[in-house]
Formats: sequence, C-alpha cells, structure tokens
Amino acid sequence: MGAIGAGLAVVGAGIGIGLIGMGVAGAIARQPEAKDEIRAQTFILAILVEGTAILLGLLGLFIG
Amino acid sequence: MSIDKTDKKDPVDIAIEHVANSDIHHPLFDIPFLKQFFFGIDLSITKHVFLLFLVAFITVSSIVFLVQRYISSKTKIPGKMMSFIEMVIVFLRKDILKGFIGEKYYKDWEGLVYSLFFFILIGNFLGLIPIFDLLGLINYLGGGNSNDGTILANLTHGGNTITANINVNFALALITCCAFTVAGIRKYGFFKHWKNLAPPGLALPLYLIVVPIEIMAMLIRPLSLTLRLAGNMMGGHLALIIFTMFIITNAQEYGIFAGLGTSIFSVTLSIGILLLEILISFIQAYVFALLTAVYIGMAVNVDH
Repeated sequence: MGAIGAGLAVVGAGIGIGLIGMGVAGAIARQPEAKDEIRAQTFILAILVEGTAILLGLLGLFIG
Repeated sequence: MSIDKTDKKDPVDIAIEHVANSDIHHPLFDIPFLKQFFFGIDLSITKHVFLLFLVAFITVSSIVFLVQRYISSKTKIPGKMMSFIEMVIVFLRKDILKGFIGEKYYKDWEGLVYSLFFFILIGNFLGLIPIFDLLGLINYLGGGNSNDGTILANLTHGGNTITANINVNFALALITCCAFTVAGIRKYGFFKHWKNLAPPGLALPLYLIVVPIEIMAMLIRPLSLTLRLAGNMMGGHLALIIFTMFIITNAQEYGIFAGLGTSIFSVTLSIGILLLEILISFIQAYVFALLTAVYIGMAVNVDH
C-alpha cells in the first residue's frame, strides 16, 4: 500500500509541475521581457509541489 | 574471479548502506572517553562527520584561496574557477538576494546565502564521486577485509553523500530558521516580529484559526527544507545504486554472462542518472539558498 501511495503522490506532483510549466511557457511567450521574474516565481511554486511529493513519497516508502 | 553463491548479501541492504552513515560498530575514529562529558551520547567520529569536516575544509580553503589570489593579483583577471564563482555569486545576488530580501537589507545576509549554497553544492558533488567505494575495491583486491577495523576498512562502510543524511540537513535548516527569526527581530523588535506572523485587521474569531496555522507553517519550514534536500539526494543515489546492483544480482542468479549482458543497460542508465544527478546537485543547492532568502525576505518585508 505504501508503494501505491508513493506512486499516487508522484502522479499528483507530476500533474502539478506540468501545469506550472504550461503556465510559465504561456507567460513567457506573452511577456518575454518579464522572463527573470517569472522564472524566480516558477522555482518557488515548483519547489512547493515537489516538496509535498518527496514528503509523501518518503512517508509511503518507509511507513506503509 | 569466481562468484561465491553462498555469501549472498541482500541487495537492498547494500543499497541502503550506500546512502546511510557508517554504522555504530564501525566509527572512523572511536572516541569513547567523550561519552562521560556529554550524558552518554556517543561522539565518535563517523564517516559523515569526517566528510563534513572535509567539505567545510574544501569550501573554506578553495574559495578563500581563490578570492585572496584574485584580490592580491595586479592584473585582476579572473581564472577559470574564479570566473565560475563570480558567475554564481552575481547570479545569486541579482536573482535571489536583491529580488527577495530587497536592496536595503540584502547585504546582511549575503554571506549566509553564499555559504549555504557552496557548502551544499560541494557536499552534493563529493557524494557523486565514488572515492570511498574505489578505496574499498582497492582494499578488497589487496586482500583486506572490510571488517578488520583499520581506518581504510572503516572508510568503506556507509555512503559519502552527507546531504542525504537527515541530521546534516536539519542542522543546516535550523541555521536558516534562526536566520529568519533574527532578521525579523532585528528589524521590528522582539514582540513586533511575532505579531507580524498574523496579518493585521482581521476579526477576532478568525485569529483563533489564523495564528495556529501560521505557527505551524513556521515550524514546518525547517522540516520541509530538510526532507526536500535529503529526499532528492537519497532518491538519486538509491536509483544509481539499484541500477548498478542489477548487474550483481543477475550475475549471482543466472551466471556471469547474464551479469555482463545486464551491465550494458545498467551502465548506460547509470550514466544518464549520474548526469541528471549533477543537474540536481546544482538545483538543490540553489533551492536551499533561494528558500533561505525567501524566508528572510518574508520576515523582513512584511506587507502592511
């Protein structure tokens, strides 16, 4: 069960990071001059999503 | 060399040992007499403690040496390594420090962010170089035993990625935690800083919900910093060692040619993962520095 949970967490994080990437690509295409600010914000959002995935993955692997 | 089928070691144990510290029975330097001063806590120097000293030494000596040489040179032309350090520092200063802490206060926290970045980066890179595994191979081929208690044998126990160790990362995260508390207190004073955690002007019943959430969010920051770095480094190294272990398990089960056949795929995949790990080393060091700056910025620039 733990492995299934870890896999589900990774699926969620994958969807999340994909959506962030989609938004970033669209935003940079619309406003190339705001590239640097968009990139910095992207990192924070991606980190938050990824942090959850790693937390849940470790919990799933070590507890479940 | 024939493969001994009777002496099988569980591949999972080998994989875990590759990312773990050296175990309590094989410390690098045994210091038993320190126990009586520290309430019975064993303070023997394990492999990760030794590697922490090594990383700190490399960080300080290489960067101080390079910068001193650059400053004292007459021509002021940066060398290869110095250009790299300059590039990194300009990037960190422009993107992270000025962006998140602000023009006014970033000078106070520059040193901390750069130190964290270079310390974690060198720790990650030292984990990627399998020096100690090679030492173990040399020891084994030379007829030594990995349990005979010499320093060379003890060095081969445990992995050499210090940033995959939760204790190391928690210490680094606590430094960050202290830094953003101190940053807030220095600007706003002790009581005002803790008041800043909750946004002003809400209805009184809402504070009963908001204040516990904010306190929890603050306490969970070092935990998330710790687990992010440890999880990333541990995950990458586990993937690397498991792909490599496929060769040995297949050779043990099906004979030496199966091992040779598997090694083609395993080594190719391992090289791919290793390249990814180099990228991840940079990204995780950057992320740690970025989050330190973001938290300090949140403590310093409170929106009112």
